[in-house]
Amino acid sequence: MKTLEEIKLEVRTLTGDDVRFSLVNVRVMLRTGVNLKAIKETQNDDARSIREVLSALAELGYTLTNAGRRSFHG
Amino acid sequence: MVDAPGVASAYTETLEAHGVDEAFALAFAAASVTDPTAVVFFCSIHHDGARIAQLLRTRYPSAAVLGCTSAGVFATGGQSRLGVSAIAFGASKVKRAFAAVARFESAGAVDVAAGVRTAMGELAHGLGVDLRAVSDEYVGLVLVDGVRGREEACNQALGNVAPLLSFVGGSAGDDGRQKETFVFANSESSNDGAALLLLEMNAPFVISKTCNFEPTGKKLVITKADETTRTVHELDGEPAAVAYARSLGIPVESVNGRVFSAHPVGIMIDGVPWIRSPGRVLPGGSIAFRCSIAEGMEVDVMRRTDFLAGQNAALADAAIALGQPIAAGVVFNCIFRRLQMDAENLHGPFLESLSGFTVAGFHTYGESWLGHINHTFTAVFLG
Repeated sequence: MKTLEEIKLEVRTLTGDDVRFSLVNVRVMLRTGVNLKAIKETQNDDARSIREVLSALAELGYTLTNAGRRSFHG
Repeated sequence: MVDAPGVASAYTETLEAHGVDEAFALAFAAASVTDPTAVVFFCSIHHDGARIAQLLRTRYPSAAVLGCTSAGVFATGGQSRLGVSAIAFGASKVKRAFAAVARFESAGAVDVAAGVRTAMGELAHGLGVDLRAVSDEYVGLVLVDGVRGREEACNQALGNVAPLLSFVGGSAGDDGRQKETFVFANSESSNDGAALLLLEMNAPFVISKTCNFEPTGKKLVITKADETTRTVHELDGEPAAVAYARSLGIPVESVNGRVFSAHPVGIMIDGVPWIRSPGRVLPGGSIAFRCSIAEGMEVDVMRRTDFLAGQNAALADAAIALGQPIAAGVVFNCIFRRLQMDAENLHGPFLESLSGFTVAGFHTYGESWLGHINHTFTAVFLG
């Protein structure tokens, strides 16, 4: 995962619909300050932002790898 | 207001637990809710809430019982700082329910996440569901201790276990004393934990969150903060109080509780503020908040709007989302809103605004939905 836009697309696919994506997005935003539905240009390829978002998603059970593979810890 | 079929609310100012139980039973029976699947109550710190929960559980053995102490309660029929409110759901509204207490401390060590995981395991086992894969018919209620500052950890743990399941609720109160609060689930109670209730709904429902604030257009970036103590040391690279005062165009010496109450800050998500309330200025110019904010976050400085306009708009939006009139609601209203209601004599209009449906709620020390929030009117409404 090299950009937040890539992460957004993966999370949207994993969550399945806009309502569920919004739930996860709010949780991520409140933990990291990154809104995946409104990614700022300065954030999109910022290494720290990407690291924090991936960490928050991992806590939530969504593991996204740099290769783009994904898993959902059910 | 006539109680909707399958749901009943109750309110009493009786202090003794048996009297509360009997008053509730009469009110529920009058609405033909005699075998509820879930009962939720809110009492004052002066009530024996654990005893009330036990009596309700004894009277309604098939019901899951949830409750907490408060900073004031309200329901169809009454409101006060020292009363008790309740709402009971029959099977036509709530198909099944299960309650559990999450204990944040065990064997002398604080581990909020472990306590929440254990309680969530009990809920999953109790209803036989996978909490990571529940359908849209499920919603949770969470009542969390309001004085130890563990709401963020609790909400994060809830999200980590069940990221797609909404738990909505509030922080228990103690009538403004800020010393000790209690939560109750069935026959269990805790002064350092959360009471959780998982509901499998038989009626449509919607979650609502609103406030009476709008952005001023002034934005601040958290440049130094300690999330664990909810302290913001610097905003825009300056002592937090200095930058905050400048954003409002006032001298830093003028920053006080009244200013904070009128101008909290909000994390804007899709145009909606998630309010963080400043509490007091600390020596050195840091600001102690009622809710944590992480370094790097941008917040909007807010200003008040009409107190009831946002609430009434939220009710209208909820009815639209339900596709029908609201039949019932469980409401979590921040103590900061109650203080404004006290100051501006708004208790009557507040309850009148909720008079079209069966309701019970309490004034909280903070609200919960996807995270810990301040200064909101947060609710679950049922069709």
